[in-house]
Amino acid sequence: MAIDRDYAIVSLQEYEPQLWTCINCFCGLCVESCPVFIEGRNEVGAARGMAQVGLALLSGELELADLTDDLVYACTGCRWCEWNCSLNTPLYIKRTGTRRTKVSGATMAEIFRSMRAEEGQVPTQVRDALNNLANVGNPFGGSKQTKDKWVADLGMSMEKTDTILYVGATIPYEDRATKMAEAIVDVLKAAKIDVGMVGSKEMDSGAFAMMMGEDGLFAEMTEHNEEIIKNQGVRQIICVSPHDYDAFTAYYPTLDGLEIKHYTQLFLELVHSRRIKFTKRINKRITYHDPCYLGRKNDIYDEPRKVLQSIPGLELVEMDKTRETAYCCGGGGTGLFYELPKIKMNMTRADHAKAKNVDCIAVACPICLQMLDDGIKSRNYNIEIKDIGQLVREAL
Amino acid sequence: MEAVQECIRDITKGIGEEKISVDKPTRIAHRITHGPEALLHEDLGDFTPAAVVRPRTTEDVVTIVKHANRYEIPLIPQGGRTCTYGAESMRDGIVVDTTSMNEILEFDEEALRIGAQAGVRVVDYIDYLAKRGYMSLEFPTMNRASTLGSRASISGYNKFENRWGGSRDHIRGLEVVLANGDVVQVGRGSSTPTKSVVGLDMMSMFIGSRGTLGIITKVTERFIPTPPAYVYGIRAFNTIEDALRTYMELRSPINAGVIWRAKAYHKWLLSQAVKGSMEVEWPDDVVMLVDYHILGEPDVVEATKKHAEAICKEHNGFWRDDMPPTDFVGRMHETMEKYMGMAALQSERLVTGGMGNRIVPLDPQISNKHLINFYKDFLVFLKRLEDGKSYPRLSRSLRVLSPGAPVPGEEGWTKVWSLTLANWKQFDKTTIQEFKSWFREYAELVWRHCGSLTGTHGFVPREMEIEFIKREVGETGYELMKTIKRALDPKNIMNPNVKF
Ligand SMILES: Cc1cc2nc3c(=O)[nH]c(=O)nc-3n(C[C@H](O)[C@H](O)[C@H](O)COP(=O)(O)OP(=O)(O)OC[C@H]3O[C@@H](n4cnc5c(N)ncnc54)[C@H](O)[C@@H]3O)c2cc1C
Ligand code: SF4
Ligand code: SF4
Repeated sequence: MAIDRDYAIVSLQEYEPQLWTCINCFCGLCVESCPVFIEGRNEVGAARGMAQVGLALLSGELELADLTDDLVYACTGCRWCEWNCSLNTPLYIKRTGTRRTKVSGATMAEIFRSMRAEEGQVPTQVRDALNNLANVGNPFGGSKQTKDKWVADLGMSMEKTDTILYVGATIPYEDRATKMAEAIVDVLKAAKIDVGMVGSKEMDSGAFAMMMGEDGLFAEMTEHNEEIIKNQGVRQIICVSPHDYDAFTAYYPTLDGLEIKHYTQLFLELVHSRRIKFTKRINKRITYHDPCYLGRKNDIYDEPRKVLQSIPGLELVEMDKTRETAYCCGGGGTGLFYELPKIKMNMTRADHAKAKNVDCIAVACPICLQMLDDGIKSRNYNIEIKDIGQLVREAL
Repeated sequence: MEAVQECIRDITKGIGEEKISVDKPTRIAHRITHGPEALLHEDLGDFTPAAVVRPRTTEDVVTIVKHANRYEIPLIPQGGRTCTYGAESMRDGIVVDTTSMNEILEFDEEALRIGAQAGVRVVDYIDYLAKRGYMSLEFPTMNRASTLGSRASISGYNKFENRWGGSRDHIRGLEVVLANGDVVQVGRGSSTPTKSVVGLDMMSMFIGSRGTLGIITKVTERFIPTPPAYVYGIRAFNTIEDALRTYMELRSPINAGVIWRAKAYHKWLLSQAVKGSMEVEWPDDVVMLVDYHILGEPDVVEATKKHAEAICKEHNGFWRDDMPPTDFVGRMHETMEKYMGMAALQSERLVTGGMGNRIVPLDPQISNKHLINFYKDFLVFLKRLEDGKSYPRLSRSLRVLSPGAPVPGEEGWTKVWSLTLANWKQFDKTTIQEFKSWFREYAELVWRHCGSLTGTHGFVPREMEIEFIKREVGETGYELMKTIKRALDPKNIMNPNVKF
């Protein structure tokens, strides 16, 4: 299927006005808190740097081969630059701004990655993840049988249901992410929510393919998922991962009319309707890490916090970089699969939590969970990482 | 091997390879600035440096400078590159990116002094003080990308200039690495006990030097406790005379202790701004607005507010229902502080989704005695830019956003802060030539009114800079500057394309 123009990765040529817009302005507001800049101290990886590189590619002053992996694969798509950019004023967004016309470092990185993909110049780790996505629908290459068995063991229905829990491509192939999903399932069962799953038919929502610059593969995955969702008669999708939530809400035009929620939104409703009732206390000092794809990308800041605050005994403290200015865990873009030596966002974020003297970091994303767990371990801090699902289950 | 490559090799050995980049994308990413100079060059390759170094300590800077001195390689210090000129790089030069020198070093609540590395972003510095109940006097609109070192280097303009003066008035000490690698502490409050009464006032020499005399590595500034009360007021006027007289009275030294800021806005800006952002037609008879900010103890603020209103009334100030609510300029400022985006708001981007414009700022400093006449002549000059006859090519690529918002400069002087917007893609050879002629005409107009071209950080095209400095300070004044430059930097390695 040819991908709908609105959803395809924009070409460098089409994006030229935004590149000019940026270098005309040159305010640099995108630089100082870009996590790629903070980690590597090199502006070339921030939006203003990439805009100049983009124009130099267009003029022929640079060739694709001049762009190192450090430049092409460092951006995690955290959208800090897009949110902060001088030229993406709310008025502009309202009048003429679209995903294709906002000035965004994330878009520039996607363009460079798709150019690399076209030339077949993709790093091994990214290529392997892409091949796995194409072959089995998940980046780890886990088998379909494993997923079906996992769903069956949980006692979840794979038949037609109104509401499905969309666990995404990392589950059940990564232990920590799997435990997170199991906790969410337990909470839903305790709240007596009738929810099913699609099992091995469920492929990645396309979020991974898009972030890796493969919009052809992205198109295949969205087509496949749309068909399954329609065939199964689904009316509501509850997403475990903010990346899937974002993909479904932003890139699936035919799902219009379907209700799509992140699980923390549903949890808050269940707390309000008292279908989630807490019987235990969690007497801990906990900070919440905003996932970029839930926060800056989709403006969901309060629901996860409110769920946490409703747990008896739990003391919620904010890190200095929080909500709109939250720091990325490093797992977006290709960060989960392809480590770059200079980029250690998960450790930096662990430092932010440590500075607040917390017992635990609460997350709401399977990627943040893995990244921050690794960050804490590398730093050897005595801090737990738990998903909100796990904390809620603990307090039931 | 070329000298520059040998120099890069030695610097790499000295500071470590993680602090230097020689790849082409990074060099391209560091070549230009926010300023208009790049508009006047068809080949940006002229600006591409040979390397970008990122020192973290004064010792790193010393190592870099010593090697550059030995090989006679130009060094271009850069902060956030938001200046109107001076941080552009050059072929075969080495960029010294100071933004990794970002530690606050000393904080003295007794003496109200704070010392920081030169690459600390102004926003972080302001936050640091605010969290402790203090207020930064360093307060440019662009605070999120600009650095403390560059505030000294450009002699910055600050929000409450009327009360507290510019960066030169609150910087108390500097640490500078000179072209031979020596480190000097100049000014009061630096870690070495230097006093202005002993010897010469060396610090002033570095303020406004734009990296031509040395690389600033540390800045010490004064700060104040946050004042408890604040009020804002704004009035409209039907004539330029009434508005500018009000502005001059509000900002006069007799009120400057409590009226921290006063500013005037012309309808040329206002009509574009409110139409673009609020879809409101600006009433044509309202020619100018004047606003003021009063800070201090609550009773003093209250009394001064009455006094300020009396001044406005005396000059026929008013507000009417057909105008936006009185807080709209404040809101415009907030939007601008968040988005830096007057240019963004007013570009074709907003209307058609096309590209934004490059700001070409002019900020002549005019004596208050000449202000009203200058302002009227300036409006005529700017209208000629847009009439299509005087500068046919330029008028297609450059237009006026603000014909000048007068704000206080030195006592008795006013900075007429004006903005034009350029369409960079259309700046071809002919347009560039017309731009230069237009700029000369502008300079002559300013000098006719006994003004100076750069109130604080205004732009001057590089090829005219020396000629224009001589016009303003005289041949002898310029020779004195050059003697100092030669003494401190005999090989001319410190930002050599600027001033000398
Ligand atoms: C939207 C907008 C609003 C602005 N508002 C204001 C304002 O209110 N007031 C004001 O004063 N300016 C303002 N400016 C201009 C600009 O922000 C200031 O000039 C600022 O101080 C530049 O800081 P920077 O770190 O970006 O310096 P750069 O542009 O990187 O450098 C400026 C100059 O300083 C030199 N330099 C930098 N660091 C050092 C160092 N450590 N040692 C020696 N030389 C050095 C550079 O070589 C260059 O000549 C504004 C700019 C924009 C875009
Ligand atoms: S999306 Fe985030 S990581 Fe990528 S360039 Fe923007 S701020 Fe940097
Ligand atoms: S904030 Fe936006 S316009 Fe400003 S330099 Fe960054 S990307 Fe460019």
